[in-house]
Amino acid sequence: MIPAPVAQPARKVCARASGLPSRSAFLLLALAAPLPAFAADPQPPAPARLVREAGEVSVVATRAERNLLDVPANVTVIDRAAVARSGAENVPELLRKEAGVFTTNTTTNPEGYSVEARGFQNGGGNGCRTLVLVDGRRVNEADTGCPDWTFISLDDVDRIEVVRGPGSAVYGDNAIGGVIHIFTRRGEGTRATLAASVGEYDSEAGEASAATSFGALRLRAATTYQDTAGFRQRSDFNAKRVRGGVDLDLGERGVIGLTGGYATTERSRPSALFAPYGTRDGERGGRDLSAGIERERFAQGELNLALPGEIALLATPFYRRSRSESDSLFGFAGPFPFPFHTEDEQDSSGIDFQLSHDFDLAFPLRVIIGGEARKDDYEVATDFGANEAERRVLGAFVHAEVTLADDWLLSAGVRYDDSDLDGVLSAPLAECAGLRCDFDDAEWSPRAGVTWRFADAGSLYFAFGEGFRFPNLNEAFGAYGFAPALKPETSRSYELGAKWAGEAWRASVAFYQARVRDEIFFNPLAANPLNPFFPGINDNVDHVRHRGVELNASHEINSWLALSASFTLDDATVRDDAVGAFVGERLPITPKSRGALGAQLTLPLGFDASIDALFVGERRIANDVTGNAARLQRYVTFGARVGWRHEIAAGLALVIEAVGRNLSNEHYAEWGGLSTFTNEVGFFPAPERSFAGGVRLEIER
Amino acid sequence: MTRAARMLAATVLALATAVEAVRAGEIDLVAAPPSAEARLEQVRERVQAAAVYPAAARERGIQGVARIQFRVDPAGRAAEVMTVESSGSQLLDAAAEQAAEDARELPQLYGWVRIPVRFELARRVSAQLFRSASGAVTRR
Repeated sequence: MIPAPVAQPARKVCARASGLPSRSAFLLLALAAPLPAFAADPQPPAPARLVREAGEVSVVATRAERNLLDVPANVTVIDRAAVARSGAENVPELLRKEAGVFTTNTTTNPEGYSVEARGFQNGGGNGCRTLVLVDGRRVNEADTGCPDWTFISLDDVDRIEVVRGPGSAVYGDNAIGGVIHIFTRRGEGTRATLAASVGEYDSEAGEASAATSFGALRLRAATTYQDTAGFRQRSDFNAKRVRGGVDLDLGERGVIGLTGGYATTERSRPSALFAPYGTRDGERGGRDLSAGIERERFAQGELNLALPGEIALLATPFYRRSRSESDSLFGFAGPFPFPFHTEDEQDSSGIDFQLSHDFDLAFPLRVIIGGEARKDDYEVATDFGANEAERRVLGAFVHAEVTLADDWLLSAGVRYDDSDLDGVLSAPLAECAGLRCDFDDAEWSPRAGVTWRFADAGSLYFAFGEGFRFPNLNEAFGAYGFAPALKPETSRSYELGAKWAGEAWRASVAFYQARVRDEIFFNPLAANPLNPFFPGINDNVDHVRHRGVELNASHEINSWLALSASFTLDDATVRDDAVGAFVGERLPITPKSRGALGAQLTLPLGFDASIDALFVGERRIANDVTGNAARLQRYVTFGARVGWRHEIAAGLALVIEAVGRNLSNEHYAEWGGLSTFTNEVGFFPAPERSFAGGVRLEIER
Repeated sequence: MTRAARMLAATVLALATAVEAVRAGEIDLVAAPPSAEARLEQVRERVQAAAVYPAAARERGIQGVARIQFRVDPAGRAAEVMTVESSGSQLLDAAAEQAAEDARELPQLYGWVRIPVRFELARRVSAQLFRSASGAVTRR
C-alpha cells in the first residue's frame, strides 16, 4: 500500500544565508513589494480554506448541425466537392457507388434511370420505395411514384444526403427503402459558371449559371442543355432546363425564398434486344419504336422564420405541372405493327411544413411537429380509353430528439397519413361503383432509434421504423391495367449499425431486416380481368423479407491519395403470398451483392485524378418471378477521370476534365425483362467504352 | 562595527538600490499594485478567452454550468484544475477544465480560484434551415 503523502511543515524563511541582516532583508522586501513582477517567487501551497470566487465565465454558441454520427440511420452526404470530382453525368450515376443504393437503367438513355435502396429495386416497373426530395420538395411523381431524373441537373446540386431505411415517420409516402435529399446550390456573394462538354454518341451538354446578392436579396438562375444520340439506335435524348430563384434574407428572423423552373425533355426509347447479350449489337434499336416528350414546370416557396416563443417555422408550399406525350409502334418491322399513343397530365400542389423548438429540460429536448397537405390530379388517355384520378393526402407527424447523456441519444416519432383516392375508369371494375372508384387509406408510421457515441469519432446505433407507400396512380388508374383496390405497401424494419469518422478513416456498417407487408408487385402470371390482351396485373404480395448488409469505407492515406470502398448484400425473398406460387423466390433485378472501389489522387500543378471499379452481381430479369428465365450476368466496369484546375486570376478558375467510362469495354446488359406478351426474354445492353471531355469557367467573388 | 552602524549601512545600501531601481524604471512608485479582486477578474477574463463550446455539445443541445477550481502556478498557468460542481455533462466539465488549462499569463493569486463556467446555446433561427433527410433539422 502506498502511504499517503504527508504535508511538509512550512519552512521558516532563513535570511541569514544571504549574509544580510534579517531586518535589512525585510526592508528590501518591503521596498521591492510594489514590483509587479514577482512571478519568480516560489509560491507556498494554497491553503484549502482560501478560495476566491470569481465571476461567471459565459460561453454562448448557436446550436450546431447534427453530427451524422448521432443519427440512428445509415446516412452519407455527398458534398459539392465530391460531385465536382465524380465525373458523373447525372445524379443516378453519382449514386451508383453508394452502399445500400442500387441504380439501374431500364432503357440505357437518361430517361430510364431507377434508383432504389434496400432491395426494393425491381426495375422501375412498380413504383418507387425511395423518396427523393429537392430542397424539401417531393419530386416522386404521382403517376409512377418515381422521380423523373431527367429533370434534375447535376450542375444544380450542392450536396446530397442519402438515408437508407424507412423515413415515413417524417416524410410519409414512398419512404420505405430510403430518402435521398438533394440540396441545390445557394450561398451569398456573386458566382457564375459557364461549362460545356462533348462526348461519344454525339453527346454535348452546356450549362450557364449565375448568382448574386443585392443587400438582403439573393438572386440565382441556371440553364442547362443536354443532347445525345445515345449508345443505341433510336435512343436520342434532348433536355433543356431553366431554373431560378430569389431569397430574401431577414437576418435573425429567417429567410423567405421562391424557386421555379421549367424543363422539357424529348426521349426516344430503344426497345429490348432478343439476341444474347455480350454480342455487339448495341447499334440496333430493337423491334419497337417509341418516343415521347415531357414538360415540367414547378414553383416552390421556402419560408424559414423565427416565430415568437423561439419556435422555428419551415414551410414549403409547392406546385408542379407536367405534361407528356408518347407514341409507340410495337413490332413495326413485323407483319402486325401495333401503334399505341399515350398522353398524360399531372398537377400536384400542396404544402409541407414543420415547427421546431428546443426545450431546456433536465435533458436537451428538440421537438418537431409538422404536416403535409398534398393534392395530385392525374389524367391519362390512350387508344383504349381515358382514366382520371385525384388523390388528397393529409399527413401529420411529431418527432423528438433527446440527449439522455453525453454519449446517448434517443430519437422517436410517429406520423399519420390519410389518403383519399377518387378516380374514373374507362371500364367497370367490381370494387368500384360503375366506373367511379373511391378508396380511403390511412397509415401510422412510428420510428425510434438510439445512438451510443462510444468515442469522439465512433458510434453504434439501433433503429426501428415503419414505412409505407400508397399505390401510385399508374398502378391504381394507369393505362397498363388499373387495380385501384391495391392496398398500401407497409414495412417494419430493424437496423443495427456502427460508424467511424476519424481524421483519416471513415467507415460504416449497417445490418437491416425489413418485413414488408403487401409489397406491390406486377404479377405476370395473374389474369387481368379488364384486359385479356395484356396479361398480368399489379398485386399485393403478402410478405417479402428484405435483409442485408451495407459497408462503406474511405481512407485518406496521405495528402495526395485517398481510397474508398463500398459493398452491399441484399436479399429480398417472398415469404408468403396468397397463391403460394412465389414463396421462397427472390425478387428480380436487385443483385445479391454489389460493390465499388475507388482511388482519388491529388496531383501537383492543379491536376487531380480518380479511378473506380463497379461490381454488380448476377440477378433475375424483370417479371421472372419463378427464376426460370435467363439471368442478367454479373459485370465489372472501370471508370477514370483526370481534371485540371487553374486559377486564372483571383476568383476566376478554369477547369478542364476528361472522363473515360467502361474502360475495359465490358459487354453486359444492365437491365432485362420477360415480355408479358410473348414470354420472350429481352435485354438492354449497356454502353460500351466511351470518352467525354469538358471545360468549365468558374467565377466566384 | 557596531550593530547600529551595520544597520545604517544596510539601510543606506537598500535605499541606494531602491533609488537605482526607480531610475532604471524597474519600480513604478506611481502605479498601485492590482488588488486581489482585480487579479481575480483578470483570471476570469483569461479563462473566458480560452473557453470553447464543445462541438459535440453544440450538436446535441447540451447546456449547463460547470464550477471549476484551480490555483495559479508561478508560471502564470492554472494548476490542479478540478471540477467541484458538475454541469451534468462530462463534455462541458472537461471543456471548462480545458479552458482553465489553456489560459495563459494568469496573474498571481494566493489560494484557490473557483469559477463557474456557463455553456449556453443561443436560440436563433439560422439562415437556410432545411429539414434533413435524416429527420432532423440541419443548417446549410
